[in-house]
Amino acid sequence: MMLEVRDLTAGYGHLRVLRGLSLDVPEGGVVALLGGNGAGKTTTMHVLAGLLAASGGHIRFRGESIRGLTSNRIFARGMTLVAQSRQLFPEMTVRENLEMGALVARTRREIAKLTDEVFDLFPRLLERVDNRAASLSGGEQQMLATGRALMSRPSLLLLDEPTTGLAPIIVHELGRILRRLNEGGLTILVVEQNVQMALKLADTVYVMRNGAVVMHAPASEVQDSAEMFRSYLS
Amino acid sequence: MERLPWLRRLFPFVLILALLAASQVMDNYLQYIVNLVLIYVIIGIGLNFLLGFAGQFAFAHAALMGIGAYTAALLTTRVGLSFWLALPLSGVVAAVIGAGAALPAMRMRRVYLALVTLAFAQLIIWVLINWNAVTLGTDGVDLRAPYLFGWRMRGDRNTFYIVLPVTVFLYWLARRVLESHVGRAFIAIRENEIVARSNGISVAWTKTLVFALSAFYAGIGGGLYALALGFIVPDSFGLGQLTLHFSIVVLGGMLSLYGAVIGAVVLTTLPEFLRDVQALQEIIYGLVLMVVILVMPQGIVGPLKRFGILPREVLARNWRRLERRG
Repeated sequence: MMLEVRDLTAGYGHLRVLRGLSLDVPEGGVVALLGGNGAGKTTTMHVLAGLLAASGGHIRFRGESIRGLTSNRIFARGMTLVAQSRQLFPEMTVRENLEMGALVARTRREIAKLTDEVFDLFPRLLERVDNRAASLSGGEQQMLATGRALMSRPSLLLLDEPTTGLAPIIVHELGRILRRLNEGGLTILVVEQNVQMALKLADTVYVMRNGAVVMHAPASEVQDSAEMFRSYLS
Repeated sequence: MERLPWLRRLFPFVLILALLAASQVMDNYLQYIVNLVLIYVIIGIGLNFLLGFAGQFAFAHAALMGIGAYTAALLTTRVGLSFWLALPLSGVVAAVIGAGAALPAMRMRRVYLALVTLAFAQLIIWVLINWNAVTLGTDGVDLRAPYLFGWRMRGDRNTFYIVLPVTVFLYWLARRVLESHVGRAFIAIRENEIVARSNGISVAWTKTLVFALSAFYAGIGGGLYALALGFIVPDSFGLGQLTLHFSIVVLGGMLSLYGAVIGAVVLTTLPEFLRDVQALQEIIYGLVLMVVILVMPQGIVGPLKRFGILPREVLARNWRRLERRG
């Protein structure tokens, strides 16, 4: 198992958001985390990436506990978060944003190689290479945020609502690229509001409510019992 | 120059050769001014790391320069250490103390950080004034010319032969740092700390590093300043000195190593040009600053880069926001 989360609790001050969350992400798998607003999905991602401290429970990444580690140490172990609303460096160009993600690379040649790999995956970014990140469309910004995360060669990619505000054709394109990345061996944990996209992409689906998992099942089974599934999400 | 890359590569060497050649014909006073310009290039680069590249609004640079100056002077004059050891130590001592100034930066930003670091700077000056047993207080400390292979490096021209290679080396080092992942981390924490953290950057470590590196440059600059002047007092490193440092960075151009060079040249030589109008000196000095800030918010490097006279710089080469402002 690449990631094991057990009885995770976390919050902001006195506000408890996560109340005993448990989930598993197998190596090479795609797991989707679904739930309504305020269910605790983004908080889960922040705790996993080390941006927010957990108050209880266990997080094991490749068999080792990572609870309490700082975000840069978690990142160095191969877990990279693409945060909600993309969080780019808006005044930097596409290339500069990508270079910011290349902390594993120490030489210009390594950076150039990683950048070329991202451009292979997202040719649209190559066309906009000298454009400011703030001038990109929503879809291009998501491609850039994902590309920047890939510059660190992660083994587990955490995606927080990657399709929010994107046109259906871009969602489809992004889904295709994420599948391609997964086929290449990348493990993905994705938080998604777009249920259709999540079911198409994921092997396993977890549904959250009030900071805990209320249901989990293989995506294929969920598609067969869509009615019951929607009742969990409502 | 943007269209002539060979000229760009050649330019630093031509400049160094020109300075060396000019030193043969310059009088002592002019040589002293050139030495000060080079020292303020080092100081400006150090502050640019902190203020320009990492966006940390800290006000302890002049006091850290004082730490460097006093370290070099006290180690050579009172301890009897060789200047060649005292100079790097002046950078190291300033860097260690400067790293301490990073502590408030972990929790504070902008005006709060400015106030705390200003208080920290005042504390350093207070120690320099009142710790008589070590610093000799307001009596000041002198720094005698060092020996090199038995030859005493006395006088402004010999000081120049020390200051020039140190400046060139520190400029080269600054370029290497800014082109590396460390330089990218500096800019990342300035732009957005949360994004920096989710991209694997340790904000605490990066801030400590940039404060220490900036202080190292201030310390070395201070050590060379003590050598150039031959005598230092605590008052030399107060608010007037700090204002000069900030003016160099802002007038030359933040986010630019060229900016530090241009700022140091303009602001060190300007008072010399205004020597004949002593009464109006400070007014003209202030007016020049105001006009440059209003007309060239990017600093003097802004238009020079836009018209291709200076090349674009690493990570700031497409800084459209600044270009738009300019």
